[in-house]
This record gives sequence, structure tokens and C-alpha cells, in this order.
Amino acid sequence: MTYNIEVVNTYNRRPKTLLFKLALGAFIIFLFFWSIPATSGPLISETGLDIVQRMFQGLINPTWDKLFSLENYHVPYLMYETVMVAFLGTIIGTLVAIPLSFLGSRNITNRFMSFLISVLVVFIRTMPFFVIGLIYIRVVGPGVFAGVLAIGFTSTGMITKLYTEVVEDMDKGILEALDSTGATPIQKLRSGIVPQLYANFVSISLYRFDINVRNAIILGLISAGRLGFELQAAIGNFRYRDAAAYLWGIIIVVMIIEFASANMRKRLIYGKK
Amino acid sequence: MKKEKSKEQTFFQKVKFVAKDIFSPYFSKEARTFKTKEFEVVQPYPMSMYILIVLVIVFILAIRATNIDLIMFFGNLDNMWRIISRLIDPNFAFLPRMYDSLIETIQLSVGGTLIGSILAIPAAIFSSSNIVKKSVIYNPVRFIMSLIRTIPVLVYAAMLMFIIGMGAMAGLIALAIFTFTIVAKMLYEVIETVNMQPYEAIESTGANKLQAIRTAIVPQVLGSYLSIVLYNFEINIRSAAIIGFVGAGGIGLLLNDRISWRQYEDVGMILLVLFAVIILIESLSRYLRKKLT
Repeated sequence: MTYNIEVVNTYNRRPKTLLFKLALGAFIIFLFFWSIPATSGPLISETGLDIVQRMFQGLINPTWDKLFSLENYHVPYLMYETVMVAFLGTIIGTLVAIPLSFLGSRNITNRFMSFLISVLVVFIRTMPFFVIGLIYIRVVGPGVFAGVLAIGFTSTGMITKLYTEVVEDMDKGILEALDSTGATPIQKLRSGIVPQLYANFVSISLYRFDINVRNAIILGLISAGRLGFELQAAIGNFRYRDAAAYLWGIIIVVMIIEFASANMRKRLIYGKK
Repeated sequence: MKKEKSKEQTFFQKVKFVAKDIFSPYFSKEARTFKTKEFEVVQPYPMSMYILIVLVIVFILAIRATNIDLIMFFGNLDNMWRIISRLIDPNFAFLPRMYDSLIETIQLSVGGTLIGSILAIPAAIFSSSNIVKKSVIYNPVRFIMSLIRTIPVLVYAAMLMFIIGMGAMAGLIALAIFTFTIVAKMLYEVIETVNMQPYEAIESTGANKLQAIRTAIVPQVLGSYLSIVLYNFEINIRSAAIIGFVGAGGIGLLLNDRISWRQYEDVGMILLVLFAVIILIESLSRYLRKKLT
């Protein structure tokens, strides 16, 4: 069997990465065995399998009247409340983020101010939001209101960061053009600044709203919201069919909001189809 | 005197002018029409006013649903200042005691990311439409994956607490499930954009699907895959930090304990260290991701 000499030469000149691959593989195996001992303990508790089985049965056949009845503290009401908490939190975050983002963008204020704002943003973003939730619970007591405040506080960080990027991309030439026509400050705001920013701003807020719905559910686990709290309580009290109903509630509300938010953002950025 | 009066009038006129400019397009079609000699343009009907009205209605409904009590909030604000002033005065003597939990947090996120992202590879292959060409297979797989993805990682952790029991194992599995779904989604989106010609060429030499994937698809997506994994590692370190609040191991356990004992100086210390660790890991991961792509 004869090969073309070019092919053989090229094959022999191939990059020799065996050592690198071996090192990478060894590193990954090392990481694996380093991280597993942290979790020493039984893989499953004695009643675990039973609970899994009952949960799956519940998911197929949840408590239907809980899932569909419109009474207070049943699933549709809790879904509504969760969305409302996320909505209010997003509004608070947006309202705080607008002045902060103008203060933090480098083309409007000086370097020092924008650095200060960016440090603040990084600090808010790395703060675990359960800690913020628990602090607000200490301030206003457990309940949905603490969840609203915690979500408002945590969304400020990300919204400010993304808004700042939009404001930094703003075209200031339009403002000069409006100046030359003799426009008043209100008119300049209305036809120079708002049209440039609002699509991106609304899109960012919608994106954060999507995240906030999940966070509003999670905050229930520390009793600053109700959907997560009820789910935890239902499993704890062995009411697996109720728990499955709450789980379906979570799945439905997250899916609807994700779908709506993604569609609205697409329409905002690319226009109507 | 006369001068002042005229000034006032012009201000009023200005307000009237701006108000007319804003509101008239809602009521008359003429205000939305721009005419020249050659052509005329009609602006589409402006919706912003109605969107605003809807927003205000939802806002009022939201305030009623969440029973907001601003008076109580501002009354208890000094309480919050007390907590914050203790938070920003960290207790450095607490540093040695948090070492184990910190390591456990990092172990949790490393382990969760590793397990989840390795399991995600077959799922991503089965849900990419250019490798599995039957929609009967890839559509259900994608649907199930998105169903699993909707449930937040902490809800998984809270449920696994009852199934597995207290400890880091529940956290590890919760993180692994979550990473699994996200990596699978991002990976199949990458796989669907690869160049399929090498794959077809290798299949035409008689190689089976697995060999073809290994030689034609893997080299094209490996960089993106590693970058996705690193990105998920960034997300997971944040989740691992709070996963302890439901009892599933990591530094959240300690944090919850310190908060319930009202030792805010210790909490401040933990937050400071967490801040440093997260920034360090994030910048390392960003650097590696920039190199990869």
C-alpha cells in the first residue's frame, strides 16, 4: 500500500498534543475526586426513593382543585402574586438604575464617578440575594413585601450595569442638532434622548423581569414570598400531590413569562414582523 | 412689570406647545400626517400612552397584591441602618472558621459543573436537529429539557433535601441538574451551527455516527463547549454560595447560621471573602473564555 508522500509528511507534522491532553484529563479527574469527598454521606435517605416515586405520581396527578381554583392562596393566586412581586421589584430596580446609569456612564460624568458606580454595581451583584432578603425580613418582617424590596435591591445592580452600556453608546450628535434648532430641554429629552434609549432600556428591564420571577419563587424558601414557601411546606408535610401542584405552578409561570419576555424583546429590537 | 408678564406668558405658551406636541397625535389624524408638495406620510398610531396606562393599572394591582406598607418600612429604616453599619465593620477573627465552608462551596460548584456538563453532552447530541434528523426524537428531548430548566436550582435543592437528606450531596446534585440543562441547551445551539460537510465526508467513508461525531463535530465545538462550561461555573459559584440557606451545604449554611444569631460582623466578613472569591473566579474564567474564543 502506498501513500502520497505529501500526505504522510503532513500527517507526521501534525500537532503533538498527547501530553497536553493527558495533563488536562488528569486535571479533570483530580478536580472530580477533589470535589466529591465534600459530599460524603449516603446517596439517598431511607425514604428517599419513596418520596421520588410519590413526587412523580403527584406530577402526573396533582391536586387538581388546588391547581385551578381561583381562591386565595391556591396556585393561580400564588402565581399572580409572584409575578406582581417580580413586577414591582423590576420597577424599583429600573427607577433606581436610571439615574445611577447616567451617573455611571463615562461620556456624561468623569472617570472617578463612573468608577465609584461600577464598584457599587459589582458589590450589589456579588451580594447573595438571600442575605439581602433576610436583612429586609429583619426590617419589615417576613412576607411578600420583604421579597419586593430584596428583588428591587438586587435587580438594581444588573440593570445599572446594562443601562450604563446603552447610555455609553448614545449618539450625542443628535442633541447638538436639536440644540441648533432651538429645542427646549423637554423637547430635547423627548425627541433626542428617549427614542435612542427606550427600546434597549425596556428590553433590559424585561430580561431582568424574567430573572426576577424565578428569584421571587426562590425567595419563598426563606419566607419572603409564598410560592416557594408553600412548596417547601407541602413536601415537609408529606403532601406530595399539593407539592406537585405548586411545582406545576412554578413551571407554568416561568414558561409563560420567559416566552412573553423573549417575544416582546424580539419585537422591541427588530420591530414588528 | 410688563416684561415679567410677557415672560410668564411665553412659559405658559411653551408648556401648551409641548403638551400639544405630545398629546395631539392621539386624537387627530392630521397631527400625525406630514405633508409636502410631493407626498404625505402618516405616522403609525402611537401606543406609548396606552402602555403607560396599563403599566399604572398593573402597578396599582401589584401594590394591592403585595400589601406594601411604606410607613412601616420607613419607621423601621433605622433598624436597617444598624444592620448595615455592623455589616461594613467585618470581624476578621472569624476568617479561620469559614475556611472549610468556603472550600466546600468551591468543591460543590466544581463538582456540580463537572457532572452536569459531562452528562449534558449526550443530551445535546440528541436534541440537535442536524445530527439526529428525526424531529420525533429531538423535539421531545428539547421539551423535557426546557421543562427541567424552568425550576430554579434552589427549589431543586430544597426538594432534594427531603429526598437525600441534609448535606452537601443535595446541593451537588441540584447544581448538577441545573448545569446539565443549561449546558445541554447552549451546546445544542452551538452544534446546530457547525459546518456539516466534514461530518458527511467522514460518514461517507463508512464511519459510524459516533466516529463521525468524534472526528468532525468535536473539534469544531470543543472551544465553545469549554467556554460554556466556564460560564456555568461562574453561575454555579453564586448558586453554591446561597444553596446552604436551604440546608444543602456550602458557605450559605454558615451565613444563615450567623444571620440567625444576629452576628452581622461575621456576616460582613463572609460577604467580603465571598466578594473576593467571586471576583477572582469570574475574572479568571473571563480570561480563559477570551482565550478560548
